[in-house]
Formats: sequence, C-alpha cells, structure tokens
Amino acid sequence: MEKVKGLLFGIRDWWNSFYSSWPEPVKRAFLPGLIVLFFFVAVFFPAWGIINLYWQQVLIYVGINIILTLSLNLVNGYMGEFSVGHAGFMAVGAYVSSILTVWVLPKLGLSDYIPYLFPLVLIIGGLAAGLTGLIIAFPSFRTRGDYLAIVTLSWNMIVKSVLENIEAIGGPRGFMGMPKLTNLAWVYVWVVITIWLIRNLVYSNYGRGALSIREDEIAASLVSVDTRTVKIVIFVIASFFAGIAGGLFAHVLLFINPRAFSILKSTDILVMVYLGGIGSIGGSILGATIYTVLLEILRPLQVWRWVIGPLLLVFLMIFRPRGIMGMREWKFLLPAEERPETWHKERETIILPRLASARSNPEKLGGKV
Amino acid sequence: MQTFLQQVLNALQLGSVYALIALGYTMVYGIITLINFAHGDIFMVSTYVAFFVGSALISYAFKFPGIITFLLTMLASMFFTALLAVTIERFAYRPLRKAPRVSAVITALGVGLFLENFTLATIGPHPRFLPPIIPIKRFTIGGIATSNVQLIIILVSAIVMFLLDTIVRRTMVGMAMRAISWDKFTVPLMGVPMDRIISITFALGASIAAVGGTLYGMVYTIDPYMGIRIGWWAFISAVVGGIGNIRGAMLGGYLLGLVEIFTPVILPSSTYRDFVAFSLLLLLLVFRPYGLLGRPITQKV
Amino acid sequence: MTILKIRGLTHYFGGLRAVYDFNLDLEEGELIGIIGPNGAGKTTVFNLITGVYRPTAGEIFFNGHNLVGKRPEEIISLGIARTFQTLRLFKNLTVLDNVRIARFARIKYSPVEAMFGIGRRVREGEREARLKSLELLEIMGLADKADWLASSLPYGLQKRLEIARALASEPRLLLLDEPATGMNPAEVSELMELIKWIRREFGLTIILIEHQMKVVMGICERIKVLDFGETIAEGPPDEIQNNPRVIEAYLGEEVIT
Repeated sequence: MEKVKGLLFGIRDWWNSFYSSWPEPVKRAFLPGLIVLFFFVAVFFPAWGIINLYWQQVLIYVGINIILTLSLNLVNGYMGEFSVGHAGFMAVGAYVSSILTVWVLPKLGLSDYIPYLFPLVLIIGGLAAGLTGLIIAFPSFRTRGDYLAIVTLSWNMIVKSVLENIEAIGGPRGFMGMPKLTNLAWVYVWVVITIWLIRNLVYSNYGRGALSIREDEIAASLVSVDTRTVKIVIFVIASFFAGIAGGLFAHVLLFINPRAFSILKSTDILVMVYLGGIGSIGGSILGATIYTVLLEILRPLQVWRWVIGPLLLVFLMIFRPRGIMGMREWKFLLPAEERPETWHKERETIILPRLASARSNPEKLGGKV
Repeated sequence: MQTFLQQVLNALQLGSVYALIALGYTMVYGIITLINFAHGDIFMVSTYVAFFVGSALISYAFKFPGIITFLLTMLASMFFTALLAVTIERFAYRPLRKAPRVSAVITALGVGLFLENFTLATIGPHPRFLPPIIPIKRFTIGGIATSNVQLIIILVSAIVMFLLDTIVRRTMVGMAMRAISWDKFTVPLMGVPMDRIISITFALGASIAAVGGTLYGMVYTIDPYMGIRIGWWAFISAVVGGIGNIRGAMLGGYLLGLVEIFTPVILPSSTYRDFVAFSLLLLLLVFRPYGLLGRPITQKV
Repeated sequence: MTILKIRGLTHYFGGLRAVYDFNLDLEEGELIGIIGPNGAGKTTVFNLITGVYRPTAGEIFFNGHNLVGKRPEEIISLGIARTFQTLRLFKNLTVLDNVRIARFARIKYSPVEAMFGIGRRVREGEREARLKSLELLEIMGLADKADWLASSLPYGLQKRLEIARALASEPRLLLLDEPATGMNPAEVSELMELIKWIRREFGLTIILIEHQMKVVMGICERIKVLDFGETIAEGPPDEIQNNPRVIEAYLGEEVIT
C-alpha cells in the first residue's frame, strides 16, 4: 500500500516539476490543446468504431457524473455547506427537458428540429432546476450544518413525492418516449462548458466569497462579503448544472422515474465529491471517473454494488475526508492571473515601482519579523 | 363520532411507534449533536431481528404463552439492536467526534444506506409478516373497534416512555446524559466517563426503537426500505417536538401519528402524506427550527 | 468631525446584561482605547457596532448613517473594519486571497459575467482587486508570501495579515480587538509603531481594545474603562492610570505596565 502511495506521489511530483519547466506559451496552450484532443476522441472514435457502444455508454455516464460532481462540489466543497439532496435538482432538469422534447416541441410542430434544439432544451431544464435551487438558498441564510442537511434532504423527498403524485407525467411508473439525443460528443461539449464556467466562477469574486463562507461565515460578513448573495448565486448555479446533467441523463436512458432521483442517487453524488476532493475541479473529475468506472466493473455483483457505495463513503469520511485532491488544483486549470508567478512578476514590475515613487518609505516595515 | 375515536386510536398506535423511534434520534442529538440518519435503518434491523427470533420461538415444540413469546422476542430484539448501535457508534461515529460536522452527517447517511442495502442483499426485498406472536383478537369497546394488539402497543409504548423519562430524570446515568448535552467540555473533566455514557445513550435509544420495532412488526409488514419511510417520519417527529428534547420527541411522535391518519381524510389521496409531512418539516425548519419544545441556541462571537 | 456617535448603547443576552449605557463621541483621526477586566463587555461593543448583534437599546451613528439593524456586510461597506480577539483568518486560503476577499463589496461584476470570464468589467475588476491587495501586502511586508496558506504563517505575521485584511476594505474606522495578544515586548513595540503608522498613512480613526497597558497608555489619546458592561471612567491615560475605581476593578488582575 505504501509503495502504491509512494508511486502515485512520485508521479505527481514529476508531473509538477515537468509542467513548471515549460515556457509560458506552452503552458497556456496545454489546456486548449487537451480540450481539442479529447474533442476529436469524443466525436470521431465512436464513429470509427474504436470505442464500442458499451464503453460509449460508460463514458457518457462518466461525463454526466462529472457535471453532477462539479455542481455539488460548488455547494459542499467550495462553500462548505450541507447539501445532501442534490438528486432533487437533477430530477427537475430531467423531467422538464423530457416534457419539452416529448410534448411541448412536437405540439409546436418543431419535431424535426428537436436534435438542433437539444442545447436549448437542456438549458431550459437547467434554468428550471436553478429556480428550485432558490428554494434551498433561502433557508440556508438562517440554518447551517445539520439543519440544512435536513432541509435539503426534505426537499429531495418532496420533489420525489410531488413527481410520484403527478399522474400526467407518469407518477411512480415513470416517463418515457424521449428521443436519444445524448451522445458522447454532446456530453463532452457540456462537460467542457461546465468545467470552464465553473472554473471561472471559482476564481472570481463569487468563488472567493463562497470559500470565505466555508472558512468562517461570520468573519466573511465582517470583511464585507454579502453572504446572502453569494449563497443564492452558488445554490442556483449548482442546481442549474445538476439540471443540465439531469437532461442529458434523461435523453440517454430514455426512461426516468422518481425513484431514480432518491437519496441513493444523492449519496452517489456525495461519494464522488468527497472521493475526488472537496474544493477541487480536478478532484471532481477524478472522483466522478473513478466511481463510475468502479461501479461498472462491479456490475456482476448486482445488488451488492449498492452496498459498496455507502460503505466507501463511510470509509472516506473516517480516513480521508478531504478526498484525493482536497482543496488542491491541477496547475493547468488555473487562470493565468491566479498563478503565483504572475503575482511575483506583478510585484516586481508594477507594485514596487509604484510604491517607490509614492509617499512613505515601504522599507520601514518590510524587513521586520 | 365512533369512527373518529377509532381513528384516534389508530393514530395513537402509529404515533406510539413514531415516538419510540423519535426518542432515539433526540437522545443521540442531545448528547453528541449528531443527527443519526442511520437510526431509522437500525429500527428496520430491529424488526427483522424480531421476525427471526419470533419465528424461531414459535416453532419450538413447547409453546410459550403469547405474552412470554412476545417479551422474549422484544428483549432479544432490544439486545441485538443495542449491540448494533453501540458498534456503529464505536467504529463509525467515535473517530469523527473531532472532525467537521459534515463528515459525521454524511457518515450517518452512509451507514444507514449500507444497512438498507445489506439487508436487501442478504435477506431479499419482499415484505414479510411477523409470525403471530400474540394472536390478534379484535373486539369493540363502546362501539369502537380495536384489538388486543393495538392496546398492547399503546400501553407498552407508554410504559417504556415513562421508564425512559424516569431514567433520564432520576438516575445518575440520566443526569450524566443531560449534563453532557449541556456542556461537552467540562463534564469529562468532572470524571464522567464520556465514552461510556455515549455508548449507553446509543444502546438506550436503539433498544427503545427495538421495542417499537417489535410492536410495529406485529401489525404491519416489514421490508428493507421501511427505515426510510418510518425513520423519516419519526425523525420529523423529533424535530417537530424539538430535537434534543425527550418529551418533545414523545409529543412529536403522537402528532405525526395524527397527521398520518388524518391527512387522507382532508386531502384527496393518501399519496400526499409524504408531501405533507416533509413540507411541514421544511416550514418548521425555516420558521421555528428548534421545534415546539426546544430552545434556540446562540453562538458566541 | 464626529465620525462615530453612540448613545445609550445597551445589550442583554437573555437575562445577562453585557453592556449598559455606553456612550461615545469619536472625532475623525482619534486613537482611543477601551479597557476593562475580562468579560467587561468590550468585544460586545465591537460586535454591536459591526452588526453581529442587534443592540437591545441605544443608537449608533457612523458618518450620519444609522447602524442599528444593518447587516454586518452593509456596515463594513460603509467604512468600518475590525480584527478579532482570537484570529479569524481564512486558514485554508492564501495570504493574497485573505486580503482580496475584503474587497468583495468593491468589485462590481455579476455572476454571469464572472462565469464567462471575459469582458472588461471582470478583467479590470479582478486586476484592480489583485493589484491593490498586493500593494497592501507589500506595505505590510507580506507580499513575498502572497501564495502561502494563511495557516502556514507564524503567529506574528498572521496577526499582521488580519490587520492587512481589515485595511483592504479601505475603512475610515478601524476596530482593533486585542491586537497585542501573544506578543513578546519587542513585538509589542513594533505593533505600537505599526498602529501609529497606519493611522497616519491611511488617515484612520482607531478604537483599540487591549489588555497590555504599555500599548494603551503608550498610544491612546483617550481611554474608556468598562466593568460589568458599565463605563466606570473616561479620560486621558495619566488620569485613568491614577483613577481609584479603575485600579479597584483590576484588583487581582495582572496589569502589565
């Protein structure tokens, strides 16, 4: 076990020093290059038959889970809140997008255009989910910790219960008839979009605001952070992406029922977040990938699969609650302005000259302690 | 009028079970400020223990009178369930006592799900009936239809709740439990064995839930996922009454029993029960999170 | 110009009276101190001013704005900043981020703009926040450690970081809560110089809570003494030092002079 850990750390250190040794233009080109490379893989490999249908399906689920994990990580990892009913938002996105493709669009005579309207359908599902995210945001102003966990879990139950009671969308028997619009290429595109948008959010004012709430909410409000606005922003955006994932999910499974979005599903997402690492985009990608693939490999075990998940969660919480990449990030995901090298350069080229030409002598305090 | 009173009895029957389970939630929360999400599933396990022990006892050649079988089944269920709860506390919750809250909450969820799916995987999903430990005899009192089992449930629950109340208020152990729930830091310094008191609390909560389990199993069917349904309703009872407050849990339990029985009377369909219960919980949490009998806690800055 | 006006400030925690009839007229540019035995209500006064608690009774006016009933972030945005008795840094964040967060209210782009990352307001907003924060860190001698985690700084620098964070929101009034805790005599002297310097540099008005008499007597122009929530004395340092009521209140306490 120690040897495996040592090996993994060794690889990580090698990579870090390798990456640091690259010239700046190469660093900047790395991420876009990766994106383009994987795009070709996602689009052409299935068409050329290199990835068979089964593995395509698995990769699609990996992608959907990455989006789910990233969205929950925003709330639980970056903002340190207790959202444990995330599947409820996924359900909203799944049902709304399905209603659109199965009823609304055909009624409007747009059946032929549905494949082209897929992104719009997903976005509407996401927006609906985001709206329900507001419902959780407001209680979060006054309750934290355990109580918020109960609120989010209750919301999950309420959504499930409401869906079970609406006969028009199939009630407990479920809803089907969706066209198979999700394919590897679309999932890949949405994964990239999600990573990009969330990355930008995390390194912006709102991301820092969320982090400050996690670290110390009262201190945050006492340094001018508008905690209410930040909470609303984070909850709504997280629910939005969960809704997108729900829409993608519905259009690959082609059958959704309320039971698919129960606490068991929410727990799955929790496992992926805490496995990969809280407060880390790379961690979410890793966690989602490892967990999805693991469950696939364990498929022959049938019902015992669902015993492994919770058990894994418990072990994680006891032995490594921060996860694989807790609060750390892959260097190539950082925006250029967030790299320490940039800060040091700005210090030399901008700050020091500015101060030297300004009023008091900065060296008065610079050298002390 | 008679049907109304009949329904009240039904509500008391159900509410008694909810109250018994709610006590487990509330005691654990009171002592280590953890919502033991696994408690509902511990209740579920207790019903299965009662099922197996009860079946075994009934199939013995020499038949005990019903009461004896009942007591033996209940005691066996209490014992094994308490053992399970203490084990869970020792291995899943104790390591996390110093950890951030989120870890403990999520662990509790994980333990609960583990119990559900483990039971599902080993025993199977079909609902089962407990064997007739006490043969059900129906009769009417003053025109109200009831049964011996119904009265036993209501009575036994009340006795157990009274015993618990006495333990908490009159014994050293109870005093220690209450002290720890007020101040976790100073009490160990006074020589109170924290770990042992916490284990006792878990054991107590679990065995009371097991009483509820045995009683519940005598009337309703059991299945691996019942922990979610019943457990959640009991949990809502605890929160309604004021989590951490023992009398609140009892009150909450009976209230939720009334909600469950009388909701289908007011709303068109019984499938709305879940919706009503959880909406009640949500509203309560937003406007009065400390429940009916609880007190708000202020934080020092 | 009177920057802070407090009248009849009183606060009860349930049945416990924490602050009683606290009054203050603070002129711009003053450096005053609040002292008193532990539990006298000094930090509570800070908490009441900054909106952590809503006072049971009394008025607080800052530059003409009524502070009572406002949320903390609103009050901070009006130009008040504070440090804490026990450090409350954002431990898992970098030194730069700790300071940058204090500029939250001054950054003016929307979440949608933030997500797309492009657009002038985002780029410029981020740049300004970053450069202003780096400048502040430079002045406070912390810029070379900008990418360090706040928790990895030695204690003295952490205290300095908390002051830097307070300054980042460009306050007019600074509330320092026992800044000298845990410092040795040399560090205390440095702190006194620092406080005097930032007051000059940034044109601040400062209220200081402190137990170490060297600091209070050394730099405060005016001192208020609290005991059991009540003001028992008020005046310049030499008057307070010889005030019998003050000495009596501190009897049994270690007074470091």
